[in-house]
Amino acid sequence: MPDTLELSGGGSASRETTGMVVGCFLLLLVALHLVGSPLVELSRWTAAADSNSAVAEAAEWHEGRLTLTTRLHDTALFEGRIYNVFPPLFTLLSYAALGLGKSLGTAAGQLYAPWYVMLVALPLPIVGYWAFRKAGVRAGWAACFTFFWIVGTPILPCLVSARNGGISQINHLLSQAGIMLIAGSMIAGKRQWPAWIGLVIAAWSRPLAIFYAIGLVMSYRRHPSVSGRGRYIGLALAVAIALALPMGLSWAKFGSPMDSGYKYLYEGRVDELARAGQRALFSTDYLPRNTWYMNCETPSWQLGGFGLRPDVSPHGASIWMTMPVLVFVLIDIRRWWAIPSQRAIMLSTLPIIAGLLMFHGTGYIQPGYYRFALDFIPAWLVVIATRCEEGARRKGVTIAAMAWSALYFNIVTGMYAA
Amino acid sequence: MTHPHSPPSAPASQPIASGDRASRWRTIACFVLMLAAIQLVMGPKIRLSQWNVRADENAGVLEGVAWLDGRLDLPNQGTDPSHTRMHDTAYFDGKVYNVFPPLVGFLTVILSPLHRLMLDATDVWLQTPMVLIFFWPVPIVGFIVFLKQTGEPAWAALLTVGWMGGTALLPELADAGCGQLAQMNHVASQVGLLIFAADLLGKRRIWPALLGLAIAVWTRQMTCLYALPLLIVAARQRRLVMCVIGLAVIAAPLLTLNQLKFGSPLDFGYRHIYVNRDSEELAERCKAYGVFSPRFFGDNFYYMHLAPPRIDEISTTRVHIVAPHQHGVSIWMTTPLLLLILIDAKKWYRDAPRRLLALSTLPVMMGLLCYHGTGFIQPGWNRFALDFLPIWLAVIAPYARGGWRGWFTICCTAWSLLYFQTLVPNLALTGGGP
Repeated sequence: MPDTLELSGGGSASRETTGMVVGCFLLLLVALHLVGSPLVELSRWTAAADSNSAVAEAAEWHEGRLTLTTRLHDTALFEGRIYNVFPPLFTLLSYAALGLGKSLGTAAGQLYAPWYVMLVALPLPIVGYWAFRKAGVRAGWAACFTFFWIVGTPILPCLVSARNGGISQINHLLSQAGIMLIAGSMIAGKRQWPAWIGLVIAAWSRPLAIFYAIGLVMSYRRHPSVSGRGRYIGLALAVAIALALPMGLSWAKFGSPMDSGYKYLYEGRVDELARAGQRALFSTDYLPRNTWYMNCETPSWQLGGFGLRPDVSPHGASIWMTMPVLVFVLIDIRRWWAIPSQRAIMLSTLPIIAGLLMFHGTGYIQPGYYRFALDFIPAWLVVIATRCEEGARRKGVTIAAMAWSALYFNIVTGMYAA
Repeated sequence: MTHPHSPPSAPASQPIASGDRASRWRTIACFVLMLAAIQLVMGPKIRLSQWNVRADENAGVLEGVAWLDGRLDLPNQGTDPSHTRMHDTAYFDGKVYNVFPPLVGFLTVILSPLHRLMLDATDVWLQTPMVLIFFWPVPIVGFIVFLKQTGEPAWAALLTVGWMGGTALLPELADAGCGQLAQMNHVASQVGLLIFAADLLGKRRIWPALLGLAIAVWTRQMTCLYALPLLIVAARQRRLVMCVIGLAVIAAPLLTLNQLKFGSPLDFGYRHIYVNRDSEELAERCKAYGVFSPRFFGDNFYYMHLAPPRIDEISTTRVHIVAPHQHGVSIWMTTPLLLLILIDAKKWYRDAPRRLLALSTLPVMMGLLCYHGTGFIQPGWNRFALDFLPIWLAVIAPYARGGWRGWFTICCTAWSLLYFQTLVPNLALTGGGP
């Protein structure tokens, strides 16, 4: 791939008419609706304080408290007080939505559903399409990649879980928009403010995403069109903001800016995950198990009255089996290494992967997929997309891999969506 | 958007040699991707893994079982069959008869050795033959026929998906899987009509058209009117005798069964299905004016061509379309791609085979418009239109791509898919039973 592509951020894509770009985006929305809506059911989305710890925390903030009144699943019990430990972005959004929702007559402690959908789900196709366009691919391919990213990765089951306000899944979805902003900005190499905003969004929803700052620094140093102190200042400001709020909250809740509070999730719990978490939140001991579930676990297949379906582990499934299009990052390793911006993106995902592999949880419950991989999948896909139009064989393999993933996630998600 | 082979400049009546411009692998890939798209978009609605049909819910299968037992009338219809018989069966001279065309009965008899062997019963179908006979021919024949007409596998795939998911065929497929006879007939007839159309637009070997017509007529009697264009083509090709013999073979079972059941080869028995159903609207219409009458034209025309759907809600989270009633919605609104039959009227009219085929749908449509039923129950679509819709699609397929037509086709297909997506329930996800 010639450097000119990444410098222009356009390639063949830049020669397309606005009508084509808009048309492909609209068709993308149609395709997403046709395939995703039976499972995702946006009209049924709810997030309420009685089931979502971030909404509960936001409601308490309105009352001037940091603590929660009741202990929901995955909340920390610390010195007799209950806290939300999840990153703060959805709490902030909920705080604003709850305040504004009163004027619309929304029930207390409940988010106004259209706002919830607009904040969590609707940014995905917009930001995804934008990022893949920034990768220089034509509108049709950008639409294909965005479609695949949403219905052919763990985003789909996360969207289904977000229907009932699952906080972990909401955070995954929020982080996707942030990571796409980072990857799109890095690959195009022009305006960087979207990357800074993306970094804050991603880090405020998935803390390990802060490591993308390393990639941004690398790209600023090596990328020929990116120079000047302003970019470093902007990035430093973004990093400071991304770290300050979560650390400030940790300090206020648990007495230390470095104490995320995750270890207090397991107070009073004796399950396997709790025992692991009580022992160590991050440890190399977890590497073999997590490496297996991320890379090697494959389901067996059952054929019965229900049709054909995989018999999946709740601890996850290989990203290579579920999303074979990702194999291109291995095939193209020398090629992306040769391009500074792509190398920066790819290398910045390594510490994130390392962190995930050493985390005390596999991502459980994730039947048939590996949701933690969402922390790096968008970045990888943007890099993969830059080469998707190289030859008929590559196009065919890409489309076939996407179709497989879309079918697989459709089946796996459908098994648990009803 | 330009295409190297613009359909209007091509001899539209000749099948386009797809192999010249699209490799076999590309064709196979498009077909496989089309199947993936069908599963993704329609899978939860069609639910192939749940398809089943049994004699106690399907008069066609029950009739086949009765034939195996050496009788024509349907057994086990209760102590007072005039009241307790299976829905939409005829009560005549103290006996209960199936009035639907005989294909499902034929297949029940043909498959009976297999079912005896595998199930030790003949009144239940195995799922595999049911799916193989009623589902798989739809995407396969659709893809092949549209490939012949468009010459491009991607467009063939798009038209096939649009046909299966963006017309009344989708709800019919969904209900056919539950073993509903009328819907199974609609689905099977689609395949027959496409085979018929492909032959008349292609090599005109007659026998494929006869085969298609047999499938169509043995599932939807009104399609017998397509014998007219076939006779014209056969006469021009000096194959009239062969064609007439073929048509006689097609007609003979229906007429014979009518004679044996109702005493006249032309009495299809429909008027007898309303015995002791006097309070029903359909029964009243049939009793007052007959099975067919010009009096029904206005109502039927409205529900087939004009009746709009109702948009119940538009919000950021959904657009909810509902059927205002169960008599049907205009085919132009549910499947606006059909507008090409009007837009391109001059084009197909200048092309003799397409003209013949397109015009041959008019008698069928007239027959449907004079029928005493609207197609009820059809909340949001017009199932009777399936008797000519695949013919129209075959006629307009070459005009569906190139320049603005490509976008028109894509947008219309997208609309139709969205429309039927909204209306047809996802029973696989909601846990609804057959």
